[in-house]
Amino acid sequence: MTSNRSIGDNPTVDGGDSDSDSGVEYETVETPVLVIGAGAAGARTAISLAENGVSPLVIGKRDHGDAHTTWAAGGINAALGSRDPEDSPAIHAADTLNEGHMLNDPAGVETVTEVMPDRIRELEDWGTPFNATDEGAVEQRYFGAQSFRRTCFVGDRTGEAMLETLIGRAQELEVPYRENVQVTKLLSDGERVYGALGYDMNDGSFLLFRAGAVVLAAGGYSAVYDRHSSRDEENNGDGPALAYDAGARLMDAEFVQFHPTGMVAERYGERWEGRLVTEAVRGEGGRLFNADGERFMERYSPEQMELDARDVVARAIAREIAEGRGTENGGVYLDISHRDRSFIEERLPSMYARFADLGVDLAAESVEVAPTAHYSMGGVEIDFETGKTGVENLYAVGETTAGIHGANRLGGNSLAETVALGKIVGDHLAERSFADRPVLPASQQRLAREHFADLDAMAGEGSEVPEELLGELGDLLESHAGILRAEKAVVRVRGRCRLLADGRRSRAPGGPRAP
Amino acid sequence: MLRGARERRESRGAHFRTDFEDASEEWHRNLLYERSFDGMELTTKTPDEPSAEVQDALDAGYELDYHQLE
Ligand SMILES: Cc1cc2nc3c(=O)[nH]c(=O)nc-3n(C[C@H](O)[C@H](O)[C@H](O)COP(=O)(O)OP(=O)(O)OC[C@H]3O[C@@H](n4cnc5c(N)ncnc54)[C@H](O)[C@@H]3O)c2cc1C
Repeated sequence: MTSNRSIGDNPTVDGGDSDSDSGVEYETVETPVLVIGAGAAGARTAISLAENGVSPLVIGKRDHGDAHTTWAAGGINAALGSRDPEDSPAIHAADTLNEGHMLNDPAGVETVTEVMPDRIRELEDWGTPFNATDEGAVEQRYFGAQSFRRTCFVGDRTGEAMLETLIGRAQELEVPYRENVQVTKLLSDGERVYGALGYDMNDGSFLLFRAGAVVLAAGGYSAVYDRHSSRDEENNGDGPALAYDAGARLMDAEFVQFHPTGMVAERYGERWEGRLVTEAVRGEGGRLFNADGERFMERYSPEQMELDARDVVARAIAREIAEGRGTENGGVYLDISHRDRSFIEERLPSMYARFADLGVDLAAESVEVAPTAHYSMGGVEIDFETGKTGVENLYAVGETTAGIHGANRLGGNSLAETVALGKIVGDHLAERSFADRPVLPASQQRLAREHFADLDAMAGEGSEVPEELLGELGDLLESHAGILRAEKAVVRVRGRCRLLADGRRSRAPGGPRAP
Repeated sequence: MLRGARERRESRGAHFRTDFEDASEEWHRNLLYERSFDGMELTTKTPDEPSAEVQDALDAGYELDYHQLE
């Protein structure tokens, strides 16, 4: 495992000051702005801060550069009009509101769609190798429920390419970072935030971060479901849980996007359960068939077919499977073999290679897919001009927040949200002064010591196995609060969750609890 | 998530209730979740209206024409 590094001289770590008056040792780290999360949203926020002379500290749960964002494949939306000149930010906003069933924050949406063309040009300037048209413009492909070709892409590894660019830019600016750190609590009195508590995942040592402002960019909560498209220890709700615990309001938590096409474990093996087959496969012409060979979307959506909204396509697939027209392995077929091999290799290189490794030739045969929990529309409620939450000095950005996507999200809009709002939040924060930070109130010092003592006690013993509890929770959510829901089932599952939570609380007092 | 899934007695976007299959105008609202003295408190708010320009784009009824892909 890579050791902790910092770029440049790292003025924010105050020399390993440690405190042991509580019996539990911890290191104190000071920074004007603590950015929790090193995905696209955290990285873009940090870039704006650094460009404006504020040196934030960026932390993440994994090695630097390896955030959930790297899994984003299909693309990022901006009304550039490379292919369809008629497109505009206003139409992009209208498509977003339609998909969100008018629960989105319209001003926030318009902000994102307005600035996206500039954010794409900026990424291009910083070196993101977007696929280009013959004329040299940024190429754009179809994505579900969008009126025009609007999704810019780097093959089918857009997120990875984008994050490489952003991390490269942050390194140029010498943004300090610290990797493999897990934050477990924010220092908050419910009105104001003073920093965060956590531990170093390499050696288990405790860390107290004191900050003038904390930006939560810690991702979403779709991985609490059993079958999901994220890595297991990402997107498990840390961001919203930390914010809720600190006194911030959450919004739209009931909205979880199920992506129509996740891989089927029975066919490809357990490690591929729920893994995403990017929407770009359908955007480039991929078709869905049931086990009877019927192109069933003709029945559900004759006009938009496979590219109708994700919830429509996911429910259609779920229904085909439930009504006995699924494959033996519990999926349906997705087929793009009518396209030329060279086209597939160029537009969908990662998918092509992944299936080739599994002995499946995308250019000759279909793959088996079923819906998978993918994205959380809900999260922390923020002000879209600043990123402010209702708690002083606490900001949030990226998938951790709610409001841009409403009741459902357009594919390609979340990468857009991360860079569009990251810049806005960073620019806003850079206008604040962080010259003098007040001393940490005694109540917060006590909170820190108690929390570290709890963590310490938790590290050793316990009767429950966390993986088992999480597994049970994931199954319960899946079967009762999944694609299809009903009041009775939800009430039953809440009772069961309360039992799980009670069992857990005896092990983990003070830890962030998923709401 | 479960509280919200129960509270929202309609179907909208990614939230589908088999006992309330249609969207309800009454639920053109966001659910807010806040920690309170005795547990979680749920409230609602109505989203703002879009700008005139975006409203025009909504009224124009743009949508994806799949058959261009064929
Ligand atoms: C398979 C897949 C494909 C996708 N494809 C697309 C696509 O084509 N287009 C699109 O627009 N969107 C896509 N998405 C969605 C998109 O990838 C995410 O919404 C987006 O990357 C979120 O970025 P973020 O910066 O908000 O959070 P993340 O990238 O999730 O980053 C969160 C960061 O917070 C850190 N963190 C979390 N918890 C803690 C903690 N407790 N302590 C310390 N650090 C913490 C993590 O380590 C990480 O660095 C896809 C998602 C998946 C899973």
